[in-house]
Amino acid sequence: MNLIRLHSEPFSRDGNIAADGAARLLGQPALSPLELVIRETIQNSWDASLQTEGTPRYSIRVRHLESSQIDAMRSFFQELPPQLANEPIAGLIRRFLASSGLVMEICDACTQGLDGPTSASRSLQEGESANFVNFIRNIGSARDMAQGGGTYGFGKSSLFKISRCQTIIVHSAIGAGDGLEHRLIGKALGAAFDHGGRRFTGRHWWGALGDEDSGSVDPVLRSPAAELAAALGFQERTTHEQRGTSLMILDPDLEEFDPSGNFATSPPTEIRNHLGARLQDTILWHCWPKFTRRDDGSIPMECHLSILGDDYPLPDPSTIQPLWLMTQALASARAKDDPIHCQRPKMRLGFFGQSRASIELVADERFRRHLGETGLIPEQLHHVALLRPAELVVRYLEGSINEGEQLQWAGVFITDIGENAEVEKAFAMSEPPAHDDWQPKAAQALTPHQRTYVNVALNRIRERIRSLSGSDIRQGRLSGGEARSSLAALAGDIGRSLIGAGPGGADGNRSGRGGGGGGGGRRASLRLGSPASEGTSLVNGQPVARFRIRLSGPADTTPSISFTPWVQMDEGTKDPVAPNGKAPQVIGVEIDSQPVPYGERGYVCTASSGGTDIQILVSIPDYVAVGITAEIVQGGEG
Amino acid sequence: MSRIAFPYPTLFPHVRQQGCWEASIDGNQRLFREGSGSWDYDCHLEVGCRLPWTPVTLFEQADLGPLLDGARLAVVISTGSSEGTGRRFVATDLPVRDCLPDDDGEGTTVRINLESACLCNRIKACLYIYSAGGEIAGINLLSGSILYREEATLQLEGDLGSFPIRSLGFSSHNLGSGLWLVDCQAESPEDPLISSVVLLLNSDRPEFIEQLQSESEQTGILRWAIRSDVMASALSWLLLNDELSFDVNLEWPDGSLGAIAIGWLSSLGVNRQAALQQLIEEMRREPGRFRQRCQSACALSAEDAP
Repeated sequence: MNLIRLHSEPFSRDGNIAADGAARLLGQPALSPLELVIRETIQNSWDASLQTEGTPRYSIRVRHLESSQIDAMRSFFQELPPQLANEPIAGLIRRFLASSGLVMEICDACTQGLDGPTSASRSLQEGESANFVNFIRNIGSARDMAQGGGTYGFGKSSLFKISRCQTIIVHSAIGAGDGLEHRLIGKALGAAFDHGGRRFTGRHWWGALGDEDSGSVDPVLRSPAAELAAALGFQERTTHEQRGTSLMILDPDLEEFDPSGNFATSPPTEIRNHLGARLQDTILWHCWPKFTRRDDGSIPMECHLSILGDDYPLPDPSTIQPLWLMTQALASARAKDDPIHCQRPKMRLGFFGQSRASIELVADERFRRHLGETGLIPEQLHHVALLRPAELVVRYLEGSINEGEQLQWAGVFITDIGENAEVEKAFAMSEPPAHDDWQPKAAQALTPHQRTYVNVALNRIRERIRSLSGSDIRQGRLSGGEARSSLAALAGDIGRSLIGAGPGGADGNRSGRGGGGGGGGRRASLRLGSPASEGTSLVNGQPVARFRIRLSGPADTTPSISFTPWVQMDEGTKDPVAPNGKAPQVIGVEIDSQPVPYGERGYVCTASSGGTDIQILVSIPDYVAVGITAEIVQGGEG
Repeated sequence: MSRIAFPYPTLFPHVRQQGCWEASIDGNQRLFREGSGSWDYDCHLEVGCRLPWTPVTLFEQADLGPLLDGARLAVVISTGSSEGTGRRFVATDLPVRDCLPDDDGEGTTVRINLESACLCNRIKACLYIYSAGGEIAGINLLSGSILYREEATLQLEGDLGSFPIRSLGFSSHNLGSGLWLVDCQAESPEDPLISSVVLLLNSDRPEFIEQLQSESEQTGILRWAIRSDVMASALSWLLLNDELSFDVNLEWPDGSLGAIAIGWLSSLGVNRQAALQQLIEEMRREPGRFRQRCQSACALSAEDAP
């Protein structure tokens, strides 16, 4: 008796998401279906390995089902959506079952497997995993995993997109005590349809009849699941190290197997080699960090490829020209020597690594020989790979070959985690469902700070790209010996008309002193002008300096004036004593060649209309310059 | 006229008027007191001082004739924003006898060429006439004794706004051809404009730069086109870049990109956020019309310029 039942999901009274709608949740990524599948599955496998010990193994097996396996498949799909319904899945599966049974099996091992409850309606116990329901039942469940690769859970729709019958069969072996528990279920994402007066979403599951009255199916469990998996040709899983999940994609849409395509008449060897190169090239370009050895020699992940029975080992990325530049840059970024910071708010955003090499190096031809221009790994690198701590390539930012120095280059940026993982969350939340970009503008859930982190990091990375490309125009140097003409006048013209005042040219000190006016009606007050030197001569063998000071003010006033000579020092200060210890002295004061006597009030001078010139004679005690300060100490008016 | 006296006879009492200091900046004559106008490190700078006397007559008037043959004239230049951090050097030092009278015979002009790349902020020029030593009226003069000294200061940099412009070989920087590029890089409207926007002129096209420089500030069509392109490019970059979060209602720091943009927007008649949204829509849908409005605003600016 066949234990496999079909459950086609009906719309509930409250509505559901239709299967075709779910498939569109991936958005419009720029990647091909095969690239999406590889990125998504390696990411899933990596995330599933974080809780387990040992090096996770990822493998892809493309094969034709054996006749016994086709029989098992026919038995598995005994129940199909009703033929009368406008749902293409039934016809597509029938066509597959009548074909040579091409499948692409994507497996991981040393991973956690799809564990946890099998019913999406059951609440989770603390610490309980929801891997099964998130992958098999739910749509768009956020994944909450430290340093994981994904966050939305929409990417799995890529698996259905690449299947020509939009159908996969999932076999998972999870830990159960000392042994393994096997789970097996089929799933298809078709299109919404009507049947028997009911509307259905187009999501279908094939499994064992569930306990609930809803008609839902559960995965086939334990021994029956293991037996069914073996009958369908799934990879054997009997030991603890073989824990993990296998995804069998029915009738994968691979150009090498398109009956009307370029390979329609090609021999199997060419088909195998082409597909092998395609998978190797795609895996390496999108996921090379996962297969690049760490400093301690360990490798994050192992990979095995099998095409129609032949093995295609994945080459070490560090042996592929020019991909080895990326591995060098990754080592540098892993060393965390070159951090990238955000200044406002202060936060370390990640680490940058770079590597450069001559553009003369000949590119590795092993993939290009088969793939031609459709290969993903470029002949010359001028790219920065953006990674989160999980070290999965989110995307590449491209610059250009540094023509000036004839260099190609590679850069790697790995985001930091930050306090409370705030930095990593910022980058993770800015990724679209396909995890192939950082789009802070589109990510509404980001806080302003998180948006700033992503924007600043991208700006800093673009600056590095400009520098590596030799197109950093802000740092551009003029070639040696090039005559330069000043652009100051032009800069001033444009500056004054566009920005007005600001740092730039000078217009001198035109402020003027004036103010003028004022005081016209006031009585002029006594005032002494500044002393002026009138020369030096010998008087009785002593050098004597003569100063002139003009006294102005009301006529016939007789102010008393004090004169204080000083020595001018080098640093601009005034000192009463010369270096030889002697002080300059006032040895005479004259007005119109008549001596002014020194009395009790000091030197009493008489002001005259039009001003009075006072001559002061000062002895110079050493080979020094001297000056004099004059001050009216008593007005002498009236 | 000196305010201090030296322990020997000098020329000070006989100099009735200081020299007239002027600078020639890329051929543009300016008195020191007028500042440099526009100057940068690539400018050709010549400093001149016209003394309203000739050395021979002055030495004769001061009865210092015996010192004339050993006397020298030196100009010492100080540059920098402070004495402590600046640079000081002797720009010229020559025998006074070599200072020939001007053609009119009434004065003497001293000229020196200065390398702008070695200058900064301002220059203070100090002219000295000093003696190699001797005896006058029984007084011994030591070698190096100052007979005359005067100084003047030329302000090189001030607050006459200057827009960042550089010439650059476009082809060697992967920019292909073209005449100019308005490059904008800022993380916030708070960033200073002078570090956020730069006008790059293609030095591979020297004839273009030459024509641009030779144009009149007021009537040059190329200058007008560039002014309006700077405004349009910088505004587009600022307003269409959501990461920068520009708000016309906020007060941005003086000299910042945001503050300058508010001035430009005002010249376009945009003073409110609603009007700003309309302008952004115009930038997206009718960029040609937006650029024409910038041309119009820049024409007004040029006419308003002093």
